[in-house]
Amino acid sequence: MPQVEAWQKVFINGKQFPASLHDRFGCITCHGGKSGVDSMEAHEGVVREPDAQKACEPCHREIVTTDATSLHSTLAGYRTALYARSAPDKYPQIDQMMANHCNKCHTSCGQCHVSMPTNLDGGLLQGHDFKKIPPMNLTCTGCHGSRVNDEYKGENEGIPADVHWQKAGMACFRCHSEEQAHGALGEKKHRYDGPPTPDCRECHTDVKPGDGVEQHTEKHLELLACQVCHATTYKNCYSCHVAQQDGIPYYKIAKTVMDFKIGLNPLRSPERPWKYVVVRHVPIAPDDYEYYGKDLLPNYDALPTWKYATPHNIQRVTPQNQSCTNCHGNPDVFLTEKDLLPYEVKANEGVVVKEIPGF
Amino acid sequence: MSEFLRKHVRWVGPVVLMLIGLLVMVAAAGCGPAPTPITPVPPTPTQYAPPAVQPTPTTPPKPTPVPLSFPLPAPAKTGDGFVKADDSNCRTCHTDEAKLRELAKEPEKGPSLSEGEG
Repeated sequence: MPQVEAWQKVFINGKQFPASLHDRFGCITCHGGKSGVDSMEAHEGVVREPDAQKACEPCHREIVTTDATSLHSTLAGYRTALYARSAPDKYPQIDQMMANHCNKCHTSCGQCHVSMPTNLDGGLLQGHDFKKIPPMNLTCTGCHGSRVNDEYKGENEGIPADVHWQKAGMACFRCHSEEQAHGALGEKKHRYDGPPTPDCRECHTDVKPGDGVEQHTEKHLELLACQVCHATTYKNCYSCHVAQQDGIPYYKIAKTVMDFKIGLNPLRSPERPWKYVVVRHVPIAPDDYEYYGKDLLPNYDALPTWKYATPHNIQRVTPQNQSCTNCHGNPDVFLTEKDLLPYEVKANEGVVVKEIPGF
Repeated sequence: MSEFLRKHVRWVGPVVLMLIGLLVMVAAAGCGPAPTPITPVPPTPTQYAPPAVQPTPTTPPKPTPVPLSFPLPAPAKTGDGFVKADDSNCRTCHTDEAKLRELAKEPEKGPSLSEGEG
């Protein structure tokens, strides 16, 4: 992340912003505060981030309406997973934990289009200009950093950047649409709820059996998600223990592991029909939230800990697609029981590959 | 016999006969079979007529929820009647780079206990 100095975070471009449409409302209408008094008093009641319903909705009604249910806004993906592993009588503690440790990742209109996200301590993007397309480096990858950003830009040692970045310089929005970011594709329970968005096949329409790529056989295309052949080694997290000291929340995240594993598709459906997908270990251990109570994840096994994944380091040529034997008969690229920690065997019953594909 | 009778007597016979025949026909018709009964057509049902005077509702009716269908119409709020508060002092400071460089400070943070990649 580029460093932004303290003054830049509150600096308003006096030439540019007054000429913009948003300036017509004036500072106080959106942010509150007082005029004609000294600076201390002027800041009394100032709202750093105006309420979208009041400030944005009157003009941007369509977006504000759908965004209220977007994953960016609700963080429903976290809640869906944590509730599934927990139990109703534990939800209050889970909610408390989320409020202290996760909700900072919630984003809003202003936290992408005007300032940096709160997760990054905020600060105006560029003199209070309103950015229709948020700058990727200061917003998107500010939050989606350690996995998405590092994979996409090739910042994991020895792993090349995603071809979409390296060769085409494609920013996030080229694949991830405005509709997706603003929840306009319907209410989702988690990131992979519904059809793939984006779907590789929307651009790569020419991929089909007989397209000249030897491995693009009918069976491969039917059974394998694109990433199985075209993603490469990515980051896996194993736990995220949370606690507080003097009211300040903190995290202890176990060492990450670079790995690549093909597992059985835990979300197999007509929309995601592949038998094999890439799976990534997510940061969840049974005692991660013990600070908030004992045994808060009594249904830990309800979901796999190796989860459906779409790594952002797509390559045309990858180690596994170099020869048939790199996958067929090679247990190292598949998720097998030997890859599991003792406490997660049952959770991953549905994703481990018990029979390594032969020829 | 008077001259009048003598002149018209030849018409009396046929007229009397016609009257007798007519009476016989009327009598015969009155003794014929009973007429086919006519079934009355049921009345056309009429809709319930509400009372002429309805009670005045005490609370306004709730608006019917209309599903959102995008694109929505352009916002009606145009700024008419909108009063922009004087914000000149906000602008004076927040557009002054030199002043902000001098005054703006990052809040001090204690050492973080967090470990690992987030």
